[in-house]
Amino acid sequence: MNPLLTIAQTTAPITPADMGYLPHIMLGLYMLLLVWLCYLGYKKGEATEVDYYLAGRNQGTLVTSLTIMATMFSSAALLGIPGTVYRDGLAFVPFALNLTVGGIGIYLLGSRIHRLGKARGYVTPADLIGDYYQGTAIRLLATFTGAMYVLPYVIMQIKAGGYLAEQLFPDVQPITLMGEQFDMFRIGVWALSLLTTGYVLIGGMRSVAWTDVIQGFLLLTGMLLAGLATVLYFQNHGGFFNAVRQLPPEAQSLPGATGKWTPLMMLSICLFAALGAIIQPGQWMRFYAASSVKTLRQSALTFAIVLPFCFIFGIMLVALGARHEFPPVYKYTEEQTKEMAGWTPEEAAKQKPVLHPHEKFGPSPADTDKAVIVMTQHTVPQVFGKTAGTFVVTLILIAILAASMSTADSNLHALSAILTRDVYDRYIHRSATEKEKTWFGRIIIILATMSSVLFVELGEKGGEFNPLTLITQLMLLAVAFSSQLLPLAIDCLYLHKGTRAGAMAGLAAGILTVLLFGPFPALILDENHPVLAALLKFTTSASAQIHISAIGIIVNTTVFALVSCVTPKLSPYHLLKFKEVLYGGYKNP
Amino acid sequence: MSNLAKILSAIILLGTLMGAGPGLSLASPAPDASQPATVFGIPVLYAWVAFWFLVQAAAIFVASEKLWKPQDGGATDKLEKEV
Repeated sequence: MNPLLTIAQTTAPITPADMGYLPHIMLGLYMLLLVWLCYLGYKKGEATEVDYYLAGRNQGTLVTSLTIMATMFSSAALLGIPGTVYRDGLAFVPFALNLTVGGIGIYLLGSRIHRLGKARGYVTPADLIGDYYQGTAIRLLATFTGAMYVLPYVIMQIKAGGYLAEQLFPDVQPITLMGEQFDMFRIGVWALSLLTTGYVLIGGMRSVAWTDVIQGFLLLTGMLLAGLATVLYFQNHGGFFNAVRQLPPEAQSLPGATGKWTPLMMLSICLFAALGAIIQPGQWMRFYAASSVKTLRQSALTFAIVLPFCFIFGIMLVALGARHEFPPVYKYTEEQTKEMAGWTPEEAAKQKPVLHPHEKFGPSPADTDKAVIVMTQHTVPQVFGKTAGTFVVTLILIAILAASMSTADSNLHALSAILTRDVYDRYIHRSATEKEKTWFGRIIIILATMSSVLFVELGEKGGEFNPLTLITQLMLLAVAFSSQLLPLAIDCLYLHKGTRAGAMAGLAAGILTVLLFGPFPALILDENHPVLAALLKFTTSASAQIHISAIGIIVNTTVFALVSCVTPKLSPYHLLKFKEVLYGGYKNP
Repeated sequence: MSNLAKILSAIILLGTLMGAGPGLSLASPAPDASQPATVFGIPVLYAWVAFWFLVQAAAIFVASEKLWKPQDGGATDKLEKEV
């Protein structure tokens, strides 16, 4: 018998009192390490735009691999996705295969983006798109698309900071500051925002990437360790797969407990959303920042193999185990109960209850996102004992924090780059010095952080303004926006058939489609109007079958192709400049 | 495109279609099944996804070793240095 398992006979789950000051010490050490790396990044950096945003285009394989992985691995990886597996069961496990597609995308798209970026001095995605299609409007549209991705992603990470603070320090009393009461959730939100903003402001890309290395190691370790603890825990409770076999049939089959994850939905996510996530502004800029194509090739291989492995054989096991140990229940939400107050029993019987997580997670359906946190606190001490268990639980919680911070910093940094480079530099203050540009970028980072904190706080206050409660929903919506750059990227890098008007029309159509098929129409359209109600019904039904990123890309590509057929082509001499870089020695036929 | 590239592309596409697409219908038990479907004691849906991941991972590894060149498409280091 595994010696670790002998401990499990008598050890109860860790309570906050058991953890003592260890979380404070470990969190303090982690933050000190980040501050030190930030200082190193600042000392090594130069006061130029390219250095602040791309770390001198000289990042090696280790830094590039881990910064790409850490940027991809957000709070969704350790909270939202396991939360969805907990809720829906095995139906959501195929989601992990989107990462193999993403890895291939890093090489096929990233290496060409890198080559063009290095040759033509690009910093942002819109630099490449705008330069290739030779237009101001297309450049602004690409900038807007990037911004639409970044904000939901930052909001999601900041929200995760609040969850973690609640779990790490549940007994801390709320504090009052300037008349405002701050509970642990709000303290976590503000602490994560301020720390992350601090090191992005000071050190730029170099600090972001170096902290990503530490955060990348932490979160890979955390995912595998949490999975290992779950499997070892179940060895003493009849076996892991035996427990999974006992889950209800709805959790062992498609389309999952909520009925959302059909094969078509999973395929559209794995093909389109995966590539959309790879060409988000933060990743795109990492392709420019890599030192060579060889670096990207190695990063792509690591990404395609290591990340899905950590999901399938790590964190997803935790979520499946949590579903067995803390089964969710169907019950009516507060709103449903209020609505049903005056109904007859026959009318009430037609109302479907909503799947809620186990009471240990919290009262809201969105609390499914806490599956890893609750399960880890339950299993780890039983596997490793209380002392080592406290250390491992804290390490896993810090890994979740690291995942949130590494994505938030990359996205804040990318937003700063795209607004400075694509808007301020070109349309507001053309003669700005390098110093002025970096300072403008820093102001953007502060404003973006503050807006994200405001959004999270408004969302937490509840009421009707809480359309995006689940982290996975936020993630998939953000990816739907960034994936609209995919048809343009493929044309710039491979096909060279599109026109400027075609690219603009396609991108605009794609963004409008995402807006129309996303959660926004339900917030603003009058459901009592027959035409609007029919439109709403159609968009809701379509987006339940196929992911909105795929709907957007289909519309985008169709419009792009059709308009390109009837509008003036780009000059062959202009295209030749790009083909020479991409294919080397290319001769115009 | 070389024959190896065609074969590996087909394997990766097949892996995606089978592991995360219509192929899932072949492995997924009926939602109202009374007995869980398993392979060697592992729930069949989990085993299916893990299998196709391993297939894809092997294909990507071979592609990275045999096809993904540092100077893909013919662009040369010299050109990069000149720029």
